[in-house]
Amino acid sequence: MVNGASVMTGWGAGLQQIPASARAEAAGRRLLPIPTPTLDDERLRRATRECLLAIDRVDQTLCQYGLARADLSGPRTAVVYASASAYAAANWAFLHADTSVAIYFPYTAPSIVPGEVTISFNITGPYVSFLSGANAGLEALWHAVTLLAQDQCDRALILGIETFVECETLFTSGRWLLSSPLVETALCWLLEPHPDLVSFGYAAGRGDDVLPLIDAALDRHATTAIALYMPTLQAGYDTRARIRERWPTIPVSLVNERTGTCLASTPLIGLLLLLAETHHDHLLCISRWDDVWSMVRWPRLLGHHSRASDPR
Amino acid sequence: MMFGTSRLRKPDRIAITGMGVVSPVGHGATAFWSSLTGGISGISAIERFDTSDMRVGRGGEIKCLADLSPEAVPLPACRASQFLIHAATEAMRQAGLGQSTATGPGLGVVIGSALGGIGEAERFQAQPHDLHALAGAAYDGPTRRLAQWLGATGPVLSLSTACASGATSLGIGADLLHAGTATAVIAGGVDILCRFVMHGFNRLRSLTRDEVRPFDRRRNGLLLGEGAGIVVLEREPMARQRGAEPLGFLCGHASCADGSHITAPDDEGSGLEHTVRLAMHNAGVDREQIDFISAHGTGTPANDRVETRVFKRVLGPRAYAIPVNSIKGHMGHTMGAAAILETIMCLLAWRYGQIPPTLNYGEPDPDCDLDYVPATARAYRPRISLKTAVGFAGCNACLVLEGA
Repeated sequence: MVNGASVMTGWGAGLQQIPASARAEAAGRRLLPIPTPTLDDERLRRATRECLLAIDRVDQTLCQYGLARADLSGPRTAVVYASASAYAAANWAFLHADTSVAIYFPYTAPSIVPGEVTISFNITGPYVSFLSGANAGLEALWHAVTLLAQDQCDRALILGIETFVECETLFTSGRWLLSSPLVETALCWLLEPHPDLVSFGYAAGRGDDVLPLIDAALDRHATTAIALYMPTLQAGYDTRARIRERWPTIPVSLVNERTGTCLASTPLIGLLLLLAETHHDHLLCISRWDDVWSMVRWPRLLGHHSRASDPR
Repeated sequence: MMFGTSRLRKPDRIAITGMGVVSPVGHGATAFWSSLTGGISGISAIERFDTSDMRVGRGGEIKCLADLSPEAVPLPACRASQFLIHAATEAMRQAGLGQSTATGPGLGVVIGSALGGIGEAERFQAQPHDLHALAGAAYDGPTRRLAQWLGATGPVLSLSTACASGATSLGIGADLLHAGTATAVIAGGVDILCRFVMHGFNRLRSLTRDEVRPFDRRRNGLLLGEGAGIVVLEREPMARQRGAEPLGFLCGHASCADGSHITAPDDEGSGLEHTVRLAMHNAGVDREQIDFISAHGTGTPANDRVETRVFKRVLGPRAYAIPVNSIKGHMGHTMGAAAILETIMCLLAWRYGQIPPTLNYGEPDPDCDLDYVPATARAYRPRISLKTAVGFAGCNACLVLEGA
């Protein structure tokens, strides 16, 4: 498995910028934006900030791992997009727009974000957007692995973009649903095939209790670490305590305690942090959105041949 | 909840054991089919919101929803959720999955949509203190409400490939079953008519003042519609084990990018061609086995020309020998619901041995020279069908379906 990842958050470029405590580091700031990249392409003059962030993140990934744009071109590259906020900014703007800006209507479709990536990099392979709130990140990872396992592509790009600035008032109205601070994120993860893909696991479902889900995923002969994302920190503390009570030796990190709220990108960052900072055999990454759990089991072996020892 | 692993092989066929329809030409598969074959149009003046400032004020609007008796629980206010609940209730009944079965382990829900909860966003805009509307305005709001209504305990996924979403949702549902992450999946698509989307397409000048005329020389645009379609997917052995009779099978699927333009189709159709070839490869069928094509067929000059080119390249001379239809003349383009409603049409065509006509088709176009089933329904029983779908941002999807 070659997996390269490039992460930009409101904290800065790379995983190493993510603090130990988002709340403490934010020092009262409710929203941490990321700068808009300037792309020298006339075609993108009307593109939304999400589109520009996505294209720039793919370029950064290629640059970091020594690949050229042409390496992605054609039908053997898949693009899988995950976002919870995807259509908020463009749709909110359009709802409030007068007719003079209606030319931006196509950008209200969430698939425009990965669509601009496919156009910029001439990608014609498998292509889908997951928009199931914060669980979309792990769904995208599952789907990308499935595409590789089924030989539908030679490489898969997972894109995670979350922006909040354009509709900050909207998110403020819903602040009881999400913990502070809101942290904008642009993430690109490049996956290629590996024989051990078959031991990758995915589970999801509605329910109150995550313990049976974890129990089914644990391998008694392997060491395991868990990354957990819950929309509110209090719910996260409660769930972490219950997991620790049941499995005292398994380390459990509450990802958004560190990252802040990055919605669908949070569990993906959590998995990347476990890859970078721990040495366990299996990494379980769990997210919850409304009343639905989502979980992947990532075998450490998949990271052994990674070029992404320190995703930036 | 079930823990699944990625598999390299697809051991079981995916059976479709139930289907449900909410459409401008009828609620329920029976009424839907009767209207399609009878050439009934669901296009009318839009009454639910003001269109006086738009060039076109017509579309495939659903005027009222039938009662969901005997269920007593009030439906959510969200229109898209209502459509989904109606369609899923019908599909579950046909599949023999009652409320008690639905609460068993592993029932997944996968819904595709172009617009998500945009109707609720409009409601929130009008009533900024209605926080339920705000929560429902999330893209995945209608999907979550459906899952809660059904008491589903498996995966709940919301996805988009724009107006191809209804086809992609079936593919993702099938992958969940192959992975062992769900025992059955409620899969489909939904979208509603609202000012937001009418205004957008009006500004793009994509809407016709004429009838929608797929593949006709006079075609000059589309009309929008609304609706929902749902199917129940199960692995064939599991379905048969519990005594369910498959209505058909999802043999293969693919969703791929054009990588060409954010709104217009690639003029050569290379992305759609790759998608169709990949879906056929995944299904293990060759062109001689294809009996019927349910085209995206929006009635726009570019789409219908490109689709025709692609069918001819993929199928060769066979393309001239098999019927191709579009039902968007009947009810407009129902966006995220379109491909799933057309999928259900394919299964009904197999069951009843008829192909619905391409409504309003009359004058052949030299660029569109296939057999588009003009005027009236045709007696024909297609065992293997291709269903194509196309959306904004270069989204293409294709399903290969087989009658049971």
